[in-house]
Amino acid sequence: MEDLKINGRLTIEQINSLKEIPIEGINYEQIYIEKEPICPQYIPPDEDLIPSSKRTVVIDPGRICMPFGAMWASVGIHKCIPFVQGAQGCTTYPRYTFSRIFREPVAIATASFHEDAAVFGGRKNLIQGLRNLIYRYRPEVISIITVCSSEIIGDDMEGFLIEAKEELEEEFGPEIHDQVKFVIVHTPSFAGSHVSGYDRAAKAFVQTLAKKRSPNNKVNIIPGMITPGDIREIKHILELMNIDYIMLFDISGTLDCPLRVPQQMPYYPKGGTKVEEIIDMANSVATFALCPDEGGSAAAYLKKRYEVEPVIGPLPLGIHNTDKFVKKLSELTGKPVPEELKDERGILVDAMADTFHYTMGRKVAIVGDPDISAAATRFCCELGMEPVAVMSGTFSKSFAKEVWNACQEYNYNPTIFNGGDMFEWEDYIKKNRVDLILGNSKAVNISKEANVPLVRIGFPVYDRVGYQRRAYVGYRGGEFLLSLIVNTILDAKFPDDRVHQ
Amino acid sequence: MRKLALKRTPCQENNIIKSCPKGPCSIKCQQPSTPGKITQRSCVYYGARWMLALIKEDAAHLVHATVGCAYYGSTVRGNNYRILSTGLTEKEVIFGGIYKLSKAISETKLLFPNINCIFVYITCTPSLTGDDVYAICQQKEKELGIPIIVVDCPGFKGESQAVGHKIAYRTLMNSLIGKEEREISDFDVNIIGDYNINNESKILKDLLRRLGINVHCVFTGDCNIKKIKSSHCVRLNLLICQNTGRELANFMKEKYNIPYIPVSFFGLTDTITSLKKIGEFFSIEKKVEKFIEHEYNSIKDKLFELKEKLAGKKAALFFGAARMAIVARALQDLDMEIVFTGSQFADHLTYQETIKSLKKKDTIIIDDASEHDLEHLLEELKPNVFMGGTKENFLSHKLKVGFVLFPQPKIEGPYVGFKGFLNFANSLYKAIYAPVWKFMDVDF
Repeated sequence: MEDLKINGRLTIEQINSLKEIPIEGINYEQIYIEKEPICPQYIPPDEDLIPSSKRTVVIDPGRICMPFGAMWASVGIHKCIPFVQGAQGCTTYPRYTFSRIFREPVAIATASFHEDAAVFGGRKNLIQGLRNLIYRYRPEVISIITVCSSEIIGDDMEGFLIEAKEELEEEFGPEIHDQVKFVIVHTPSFAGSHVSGYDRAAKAFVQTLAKKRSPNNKVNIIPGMITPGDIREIKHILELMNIDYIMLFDISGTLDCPLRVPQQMPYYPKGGTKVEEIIDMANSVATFALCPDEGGSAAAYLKKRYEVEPVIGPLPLGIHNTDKFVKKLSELTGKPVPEELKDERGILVDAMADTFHYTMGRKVAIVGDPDISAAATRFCCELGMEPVAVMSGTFSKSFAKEVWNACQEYNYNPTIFNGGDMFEWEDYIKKNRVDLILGNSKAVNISKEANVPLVRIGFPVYDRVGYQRRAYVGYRGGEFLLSLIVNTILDAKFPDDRVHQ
Repeated sequence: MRKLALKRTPCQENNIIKSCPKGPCSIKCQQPSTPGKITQRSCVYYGARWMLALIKEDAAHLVHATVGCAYYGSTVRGNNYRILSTGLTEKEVIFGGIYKLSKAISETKLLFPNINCIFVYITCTPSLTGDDVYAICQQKEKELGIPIIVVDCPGFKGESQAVGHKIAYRTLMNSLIGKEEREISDFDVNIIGDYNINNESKILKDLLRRLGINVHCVFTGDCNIKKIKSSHCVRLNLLICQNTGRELANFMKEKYNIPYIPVSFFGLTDTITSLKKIGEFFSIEKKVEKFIEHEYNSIKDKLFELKEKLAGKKAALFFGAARMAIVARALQDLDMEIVFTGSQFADHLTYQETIKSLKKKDTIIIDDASEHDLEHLLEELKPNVFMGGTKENFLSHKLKVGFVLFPQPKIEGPYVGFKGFLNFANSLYKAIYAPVWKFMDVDF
């Protein structure tokens, strides 16, 4: 049997000769034949139809729907419950997704659209739904998120909300207007992906809540769809530099909570951005939208309306980007860069110096959300790795520009899949040799199939434990990601006796 | 109960009852959820995907929707499946998506020439814009020469995913079953309602093969288009999930005169009775009895060990699949007590069966519990272990209740059959006795 194996996997002949796979021992899932049927009858797909731009059908999309981004954002607000004006699936699918990634309960209410709502509109659902939600949960903020169906029907959300508020006042008294804030986010999924959903939510929250008062000498941070660990790392940098901040959509306190005996019912996570903080965002020194595509428009709005200086991207991942972030922070606030932070940078540089033997010249394929992919591409270049196929599931201009700039700097010429699907990206990996894949858990299939090791980064990672608690951004995050990359290469490419120092 | 009753709205009053074996089942079920609820239910499209995703070998699944629906639909029961989508944009919402769909179907056939069938799912978006998907699919069917099956499952079409399950089964009934003939041997059966979540289909097939029974098609855990087409050529149908599969079983009984027997291979009593029923049907009682004895002896010692530790512990159940009765019986096999049980979408018959199989009177039964309800029930009744789906998992941890994932035990092996029951008991043991729970209290 041994000599028949190619790279430790079963060969075509072996798979075909297997009549029965034993129940104990090999798991059926381990032999990956469903994606690309390895059998004599297999006919390779038409070459012309492989690039996603040349076909209409989308195969294994790399992006989720718009409301998901808005829900992600809303979950980062303290005592905020998103209310989804759509069918039940539009809440339950995201709740599954959140639970699988973060391993935390997430409360999202639904308007429960049924056929009657599709015919007569969702007015009744919204008014009754908001009432029920407030009655049971007493949230401080309700973000009303529309989906495809309510947008196609043409529900006048603003009008319905006025009506709903009147009815709420009748039942709960006029103080309800101070107790609960409403934010409407329009997210028809056919107009974009989760990336633009987050962006729209950021803009809607700032537009609805922010108010001009006296200057507060803080900086606003709009993190984008990064992990709770990342947000903590950003906070750590700000605290080291002694800068006061407002973290919008702070999921580090809501989607990564300590397990303690419950203090109150219903269960609300302790953390999250407070409403008061969002109101205060209009009075800050600057707004840092870490991901240009996720939060960029909110930063632009704050500049236009309240003259808050915008700094849009790039995501501080890797040396160059983090340097840029730290420099900009220091420039805008006038605070010096502390020694501790320089030491953290030094540790990352030290780690890079220790490991470039392993990383230099490795070909790497990258997939993920636009901003994370772009930043990861630059970091790979910094490590001496060659990005060969870079994909963003969502189409983004800034992504293409950033990847191109980074690769030009280091003289690489990668294939960029902007807004592509997994099918064309996987096809590239099947046909060209790569040494490593940087991507989310959706890349597991191709990693198994092409026998290329995978480093998990970005959204979503649902098949590993604890990744949501780790930081990839900042200097310390860069060090963690570097170790992850090098260890993966060591596991896959080096025999045991050659990994010792 | 009292605290919970205070927080309820008038329209939900009847979806929570106390079990009482003799009286009529007064539970209000299969009702639309009230708006503003944090419901555990999902949409019709979800239900249809849940059923049909597993037909993957020789079928393509094309979701006529925005990309989001397709992305979600690619993950079913924790597994990833290839999914195709038309990826509707604003343009198609305004001008109609028919042209795009027709092109997508042709491309699908070109890209995957081996497929025997294409499933086209209609979701909220095309159903509201009014795309005539049926007409296009009929036209394409003639052109391409393979069946193109429309699954009409917009998310708002029904009150829960149960409607989607029904639609999926009806689609199979109307367009595939009975289209091909094959030779039948004396011991051919179908299994209806097993979804191969954790390799169960394989285990069930193996278990029955050892009795000399050949499983032709497992709906939908282990089947392909070819098998489904000839699935009416069997002697018997074994009905496992009654809520979803009953309609198909009845259909085969009426149309093709194939009898069915409700069985369950989950839990000790159920597995034994089911095997005996099958033995009786095929007149192989002696063989079956010997087999049962052999299997039972192999797990007996370990089971008694676990049973001692589990006896008297309190359990709570809430899941989508209407397996309440089955799980309740299995838990009672282990001498455990059930404090409340509920389901997202079960029908009256299932609730009645559940009430019958509950040994203790006054067990709380709840239909379509919201997160709020579950929180209160867990807090008040304080079970030792809670069984449900992924969404409930982490809420239960927050309230210091051990959790067993069911019916998707991805982590801890399949629960069917004799060895599976041992796995199940072991999972319960782990959830209850995990040392982590005692660290939750701090005394400083």
